[in-house]
Amino acid sequence: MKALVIEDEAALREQLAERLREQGYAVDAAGDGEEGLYLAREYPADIAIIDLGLPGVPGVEVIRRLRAEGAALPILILTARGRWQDKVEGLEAGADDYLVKPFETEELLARLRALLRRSGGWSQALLRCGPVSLDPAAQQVRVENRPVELTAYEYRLLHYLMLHAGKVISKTELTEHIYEQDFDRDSNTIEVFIGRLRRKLDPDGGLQPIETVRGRGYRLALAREA
Amino acid sequence: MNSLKARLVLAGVMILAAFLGLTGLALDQAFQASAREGVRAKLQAQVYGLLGVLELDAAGRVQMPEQYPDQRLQQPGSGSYAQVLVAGPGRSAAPVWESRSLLGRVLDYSHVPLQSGQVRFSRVTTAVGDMFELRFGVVWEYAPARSRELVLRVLESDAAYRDQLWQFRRSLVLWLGIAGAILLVMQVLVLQWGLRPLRRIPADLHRIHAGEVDALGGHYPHELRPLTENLNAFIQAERTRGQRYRDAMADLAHSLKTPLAVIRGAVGRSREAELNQVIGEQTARMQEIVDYQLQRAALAGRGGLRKRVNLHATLQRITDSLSKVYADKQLDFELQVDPAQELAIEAGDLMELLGNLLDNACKWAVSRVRVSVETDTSGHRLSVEDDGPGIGPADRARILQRGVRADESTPGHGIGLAMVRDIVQAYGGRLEIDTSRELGGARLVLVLPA
Repeated sequence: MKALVIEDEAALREQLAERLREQGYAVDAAGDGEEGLYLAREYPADIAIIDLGLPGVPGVEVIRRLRAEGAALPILILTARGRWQDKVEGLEAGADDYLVKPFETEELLARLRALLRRSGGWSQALLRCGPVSLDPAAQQVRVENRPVELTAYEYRLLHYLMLHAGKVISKTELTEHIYEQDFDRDSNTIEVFIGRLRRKLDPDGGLQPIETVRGRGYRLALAREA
Repeated sequence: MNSLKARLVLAGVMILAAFLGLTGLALDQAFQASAREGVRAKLQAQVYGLLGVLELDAAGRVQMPEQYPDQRLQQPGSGSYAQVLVAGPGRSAAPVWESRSLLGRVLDYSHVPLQSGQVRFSRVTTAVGDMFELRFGVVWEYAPARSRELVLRVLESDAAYRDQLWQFRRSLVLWLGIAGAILLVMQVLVLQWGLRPLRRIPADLHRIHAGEVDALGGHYPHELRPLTENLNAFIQAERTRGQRYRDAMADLAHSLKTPLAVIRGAVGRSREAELNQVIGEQTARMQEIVDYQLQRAALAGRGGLRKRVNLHATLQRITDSLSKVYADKQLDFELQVDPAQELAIEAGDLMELLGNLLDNACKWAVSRVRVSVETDTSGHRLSVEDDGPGIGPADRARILQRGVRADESTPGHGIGLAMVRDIVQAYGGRLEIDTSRELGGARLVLVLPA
């Protein structure tokens, strides 16, 4: 899961990025609208957190341009002023939810989870595919109620595959959504992660949760439960 | 021309000058016409006088007695002359008699045939000066079937006429000048009087500024009333706003004292975990207080000049936005509002009112939110209903108190509704809370005076 944070206050930006990384997100962060637009175009994210009061290109304009370019990712806006005028303008520009500053980080994380879940077409907070369940709030993965220990990258990979369960996802797309912008990418590592995930989720080989679609990518092959 | 008075005076002077000029011209024309008519009548009378004494003998010769009626015709160089001419064949005529006054002078004459009894009056320039001339044609039968065509010509110097005209013009100009001056002075006085209320406004404003009076007095002419009333409304709104800022500052300071006191009390006396909890709780409370007071300060309120805002369009924008925020609930919004309905509320305030009310309804609703409005002469009743659990009578009073939450677990609940209450009060209305008869949940009613 990758989150894009566009926030001009450095302290808040760092704090947000840190909390999001703790929650298993890959985070790209920008300090102004121009840079944010560049990151959004070059390194597609799963969700964006955009401050409305940005210097240069204002937040509302960033959202408007992203939507005009066809970006469908969920967007949450942060606003310092609690005026409805600002909230409504942001939502009309294409944002999906808002938070008024200052806010509790827990509140932000819960909103992000809800937006991500909705964007993947899930109606329940707990993602369940066959015997595999993933709880984004607790970052916990279970198979048949047995907890599975995953590394941060393995978790991101599984979260992404489960959110889009049933769809074929290319290696490039997986790379884009689990690595941060300046990470030295190597698509071979995806294969390694997939291999490890398969072993951890399905040690005895009876489940076959992740299917390899030759030349196209991977697909989570278990049926959605909710 | 940046002065009203200068403009009006200039326009007045121009109109006056044109008016007096035309009047003078008309009077002059009328006087000239009547003076000429006077000369003509006199000459005509002279002709008749001459005709009375004129005889033709059996040979057709003109006979005139030694004494003829007009004294001035007898006196050489008197400026009054007469001739009798006999028309010959074609365009010629020869004088056969001249008055004694013409002695030694020669008058040129160009003949124009005249019918018998025809009169020709004109102004001519002759060797003896500028004259009025009257010619009278007559066919005289001096024997059976024998007649002569005569022209009687009388002339009168125009010196008297010119003298009279000059006299007339001199007094005309004098009197028109006096009238013009009087009118001008009166016009300036009228303007002075008419514009006096305008000069009173800055003076009154100055007195308001100095704190001597509260508002512009009610003695302004009705053309200025809209101006002074709007100024009064504006001053009143500014005063209310200033008062609200002062109140907000005082409220802010006072309401921050309690959480500060709690934190200070806990410092040094509590264990770390307890202290953390106290600080967490109290800073959350302080944040709420700051939010609330900030929003209150931004409130525009009633007064001043408001553009009317379309209610339906504003509702549509907010419900579209809230549909996104509460996407999980799949809420059904029913807007029972006339698309043409307008309210005289500042657009930001209306957005704030409706945003908070609808956000609150969405938070509690299971699936339905309804907005309806009733308008009569006393004002508007705007109701927002939901099908949630409703608000109990005990909580209603608490919500209507400043900044108190009805449900601590739903952030921002109390603040939003307290804001609504403050805004609606700023417009002279009130917020009512009861139960929705049809949807079963809460019903919040904004009562706005017309």
